[in-house]
Amino acid sequence: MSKRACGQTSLAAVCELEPGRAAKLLPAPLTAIADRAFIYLVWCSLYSETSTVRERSFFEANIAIPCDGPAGEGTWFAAAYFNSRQIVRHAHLSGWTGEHAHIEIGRVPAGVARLVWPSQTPVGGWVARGGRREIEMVVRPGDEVDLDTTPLHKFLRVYGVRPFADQPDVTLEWHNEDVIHRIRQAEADLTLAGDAAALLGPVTVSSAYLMEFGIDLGGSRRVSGR
Amino acid sequence: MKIGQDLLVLSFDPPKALEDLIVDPACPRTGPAVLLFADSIDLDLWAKEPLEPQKALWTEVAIGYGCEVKGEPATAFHYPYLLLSGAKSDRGVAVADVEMTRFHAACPDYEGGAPGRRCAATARTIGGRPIADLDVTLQQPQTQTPAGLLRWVNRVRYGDVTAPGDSIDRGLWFVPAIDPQVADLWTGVGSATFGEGMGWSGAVRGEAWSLGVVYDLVAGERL
Repeated sequence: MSKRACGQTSLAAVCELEPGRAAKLLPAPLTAIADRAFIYLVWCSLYSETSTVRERSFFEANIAIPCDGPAGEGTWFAAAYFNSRQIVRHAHLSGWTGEHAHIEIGRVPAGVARLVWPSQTPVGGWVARGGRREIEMVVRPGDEVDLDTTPLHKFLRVYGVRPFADQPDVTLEWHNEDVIHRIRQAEADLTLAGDAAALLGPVTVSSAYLMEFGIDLGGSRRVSGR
Repeated sequence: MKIGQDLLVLSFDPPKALEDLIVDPACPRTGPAVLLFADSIDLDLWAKEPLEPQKALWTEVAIGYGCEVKGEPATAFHYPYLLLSGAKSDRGVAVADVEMTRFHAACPDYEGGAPGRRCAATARTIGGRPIADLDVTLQQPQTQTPAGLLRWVNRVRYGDVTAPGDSIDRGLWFVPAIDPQVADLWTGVGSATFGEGMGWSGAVRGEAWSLGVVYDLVAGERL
C-alpha cells in the first residue's frame, strides 16, 4: 500500500484577472498563458493506515496561476494555505508560498456519502488568516463534465520554483497515478478580501467546478536548474 | 432534523469500575457496553447555510450500554459520558477533541470496506488528556443493524443540545433514529484503550460495527 495516496474533494473557481496581472505573479522562468487564476478549496484524506488518525485528513486552499514552464503547461501556486504547519513546510520545500490558515470546507462523512452524495445542495468553504476570512466560496453543482474540456485540464501539473541564491531550480509535482473520479460544472459565489484580494486584484469568475479525484503521490522532480 | 453519521462502534463487556461509571441506576444495563464514535452532519443546516460547514459538521464520542425501552433493545448514554466535539456540542462548547479515520472514495488505493480494512478513532479532552482510542478491523459486510444501536436513552433532550437558551431537562429521554437509512454496514473486531480523560484507564476488546446512517431526529419522548 502506498503511504501517500489521497482522495480529494475540491471546490474550484476559474477567475479572470486584469490584463498583465498573471505575468506579475509568476516567478521566472514560468510565463503566463492567460490572465487567469484558479482558486481551490480542498478536503484531502490520506490513505495511510500507518499514519496517526489526526494526520490522515487535512484542508488545503490554493491560488494557482496557469503557466508555461520548462516541462510544458502547468500551474504554480501563488498562494497555498494549509491547516497543518507541517504541510506549510512541505509547500516551501516544493517551491510554493505556504501559509498556515484556518480552512473550512463542506464535506459529507465518508460513511454517509453513499446516501447523500453527490450533493444536491450548495457546497461552501472559506479560508481565514488572523481571524479574517480572505476567501469565501459557495458552489452549486450541476452536470458532470470532462476535465479536458475545462480550463483546469492541467491542474494536476504543479510547478515549484525554489529561489536558492546561487542555484535556483524548477520542480514539477508528479504522481504515480491520477484518478479523476467526478467533476461537476457549478455556479460559484466567490468573495476575496485581505491579502488574497490584493494578490489578484479585480476578478471575474468565469466558471467553477466541484471536483473529486485521487492521487497516488510520487513527489517533485527537478525539471530545470542546478 | 435530518442527521447523517459515519459510525464506528465497539461493544464489549465492561470491567466493573467502568460499568460503575457509565451505568445510570435509573436505566438498568441489559447488554454490553458500547463505545461509539461518530462523524456527523446536520443535513438540514448544511443545506441552509452552505458557507458555514463548521456549524453543520461535528464529531462525537459517546460511551453507553445496552438497555431496554418499551420492551425492545436500546442504548443508554448517561449524560456526563456523552462527550461531544464541534460547534453543535454541549451548547456550543466542545468538551472533547475527536477524530475518526475514513478514506476518500476517490483515492486510487481505497476501495471501500473490505475484510482486513482497518479504521481508527481517537478522543482527547480539550486539555489534551486521552479519553479513548479505538482500533477496528473490518471482517464482513452485514445487512442488519445491531438491535438497539439506533434507539437511544439520554439524560438530556436532544433539543437541549441544539437549542441554546432552553433549560436542560435532565430526565430520561428516549430518542430513536426515525426512518434510518443505512449504508456500508460491516462487522469486525476491535479494541479500545481508555485514558485518564475518561475517568477510567484500561483496555477492552470486543465486536465492532462500522456503518453510515441518515435519519430524522426529534427532541424525543420523556420516559
